[in-house]
Amino acid sequence: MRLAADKEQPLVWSHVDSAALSAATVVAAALRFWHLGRPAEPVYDETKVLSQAQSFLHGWRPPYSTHPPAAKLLVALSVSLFGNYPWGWRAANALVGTALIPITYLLARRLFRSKLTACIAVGLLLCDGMILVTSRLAMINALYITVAAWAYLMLWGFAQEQDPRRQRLWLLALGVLLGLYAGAKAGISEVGFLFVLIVVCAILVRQSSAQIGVETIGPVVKRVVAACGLLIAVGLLVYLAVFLPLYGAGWQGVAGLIAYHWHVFRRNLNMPSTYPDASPFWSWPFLIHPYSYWKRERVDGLIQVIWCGGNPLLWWAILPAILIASIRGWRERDLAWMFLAGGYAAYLAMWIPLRRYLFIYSYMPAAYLGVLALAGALARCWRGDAFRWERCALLAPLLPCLILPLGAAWGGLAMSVILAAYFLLSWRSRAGGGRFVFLMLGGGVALLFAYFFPLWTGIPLSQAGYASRMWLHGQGMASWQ
Amino acid sequence: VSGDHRHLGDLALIAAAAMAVAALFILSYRADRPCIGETASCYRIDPLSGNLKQRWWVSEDLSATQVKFNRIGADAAELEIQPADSSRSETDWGVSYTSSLFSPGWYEFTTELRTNGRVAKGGGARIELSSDRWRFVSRGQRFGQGNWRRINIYFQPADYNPMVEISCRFAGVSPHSPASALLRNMRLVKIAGMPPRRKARFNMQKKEEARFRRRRRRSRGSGGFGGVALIAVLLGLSAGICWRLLG
Repeated sequence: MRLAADKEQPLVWSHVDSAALSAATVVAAALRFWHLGRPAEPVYDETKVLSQAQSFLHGWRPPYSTHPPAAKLLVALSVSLFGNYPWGWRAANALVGTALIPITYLLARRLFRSKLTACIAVGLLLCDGMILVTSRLAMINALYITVAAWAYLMLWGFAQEQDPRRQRLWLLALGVLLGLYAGAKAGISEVGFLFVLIVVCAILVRQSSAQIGVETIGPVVKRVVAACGLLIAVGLLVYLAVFLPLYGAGWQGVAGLIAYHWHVFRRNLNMPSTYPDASPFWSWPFLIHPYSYWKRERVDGLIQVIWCGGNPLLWWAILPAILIASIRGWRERDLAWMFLAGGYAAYLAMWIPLRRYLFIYSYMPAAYLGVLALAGALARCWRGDAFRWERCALLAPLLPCLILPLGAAWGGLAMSVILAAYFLLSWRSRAGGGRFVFLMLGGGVALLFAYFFPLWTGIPLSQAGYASRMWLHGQGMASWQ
Repeated sequence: VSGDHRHLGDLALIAAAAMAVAALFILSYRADRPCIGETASCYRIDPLSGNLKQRWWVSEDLSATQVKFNRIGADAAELEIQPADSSRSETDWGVSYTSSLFSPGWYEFTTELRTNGRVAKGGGARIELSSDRWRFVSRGQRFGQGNWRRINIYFQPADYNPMVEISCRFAGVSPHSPASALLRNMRLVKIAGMPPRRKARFNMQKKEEARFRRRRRRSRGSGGFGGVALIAVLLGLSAGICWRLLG
């Protein structure tokens, strides 16, 4: 296996990095804080989270929740700092959601050793609606997604660190963040924790083998066990610390902790398999059944919605990007590509044994890794390094994005023109074709972000405007309404 | 020196971005203050004021094209509903108004309702007021009765969900028998102190507190913090050993 660090010299921080990081952070903050207090009422699960947050603030025992309390503590902190009204409920999450953007820049830059890839990654992430909605509501998802991204950044800092003593510091930070991740979201975080442990083992085996040779297996095992032990111990310590406020509210020692986890486990086992707005995990990458967190049809006919759906082109382009990541990871033995493809697969495969109802927002941790993979694939297109099949695969998601809103005839015609232009440019030069793919996909994602923006922020839309954005409106699962 | 200059330039860029984010944060905070000023500073909400068509929304089974909601006076409005779906005569159709009451305390809700016209037997209009799990439903007024009915209730919303929803709902109307009702003098006013005795009242905050207190009492018992502290110490020791092994 190969790390990106093996191939190139360390990437020097430059004005480009500072400018890109700064600009992306400011844009992220503007998108998240614009009309943050609207709707001026709890949206969807905000009611549950606020109930928990208020119970922490009053010192009451909070009502039962499937998820550990870290994200609710953040909302409680937000309410105590900024006030008990919609802006105050959501401000801390909006800050955390803003922080996701610079963290993603640094992560993509480390993963691919490329400023271009980092810029593309934050550009794509800024254009995703589900991440935006998550960052604008007082729910639990913004915290765990951001903490997971931060943990991946620490993981890659560890992977690219040569000094074993400094590696420990990266591991320590990684353990803290993984504990916080587990303390914010149940189920998904445990899979993430396990996946990171496997990656840490793979990195240590590779590094130790390079340093001391494969014949001396003892020191390798010692390092692997110690690293995993450190991560698990620190992670568990932080996880326990997250529950401390519950002890102040009447929990009973270890018994309380065990009873809570047993209750969560049993409750999940006994949950029904169907529920309004729920959808099976395999449907999430295809964006078949997004739904409205909140919807109002005003008497004047205008519709306001907070829509729990991603940017269609971005989500559909993640599928070929993950295919590219898998094949490149396999062929090039490149750990960065393997990490993205493996993480994506793990976050989806974890749902296979579960029979309970699920919602599309649980796709976010997989989609996040998919966005990074897409950024890597698009950067290769821009540089002219992408294979022809990769470029064609990345163009494919444009087809449904043209046919669904424009109809088969006009959409097909538009796609034909795009393909003709692509083959013409590809025939003249490989780089030209790659850059065309980059511009079409990047431009398309940005355009669709602007088009769907009212759905994610509750801007009033006419009936026709709303209907035109609901590309799937069947009676069954294939419905966006 | 050039390296230092470059370093300073990077720092300046990042500092400028941090200041811009802080400015956006403050602007957003100030811009959204009116959302609470509307309720907390004047302590009074007049749902029948302003642009009714922008402030009221239709119930899920209804389309805006099937609703007429027009002002007929300074503080009065006429609501007419003609559903398009004849197969759903059992459905209650209506319009709603949502507001959040961010100033903790008691509120008084008052309104007057009068039905117009005649529809099939059993049809009527009513007012609903809901906040979180609590819902007040006024007695239905049959269509065609023609006299004003006054509705008056006191309530205190819960801290964690201070939202209140006011609805006017019609039952028994169909595409062939549209119905209308008049609403007037509708308002939500925060009152000082407690509501008058013998008046209908509901305290969501007290219900919540009682619910949480019950939970807390139930959970109070023998257990202590010692076991958790011991686990924490063991985990800390394990982390320390692993740390040394990695050095």
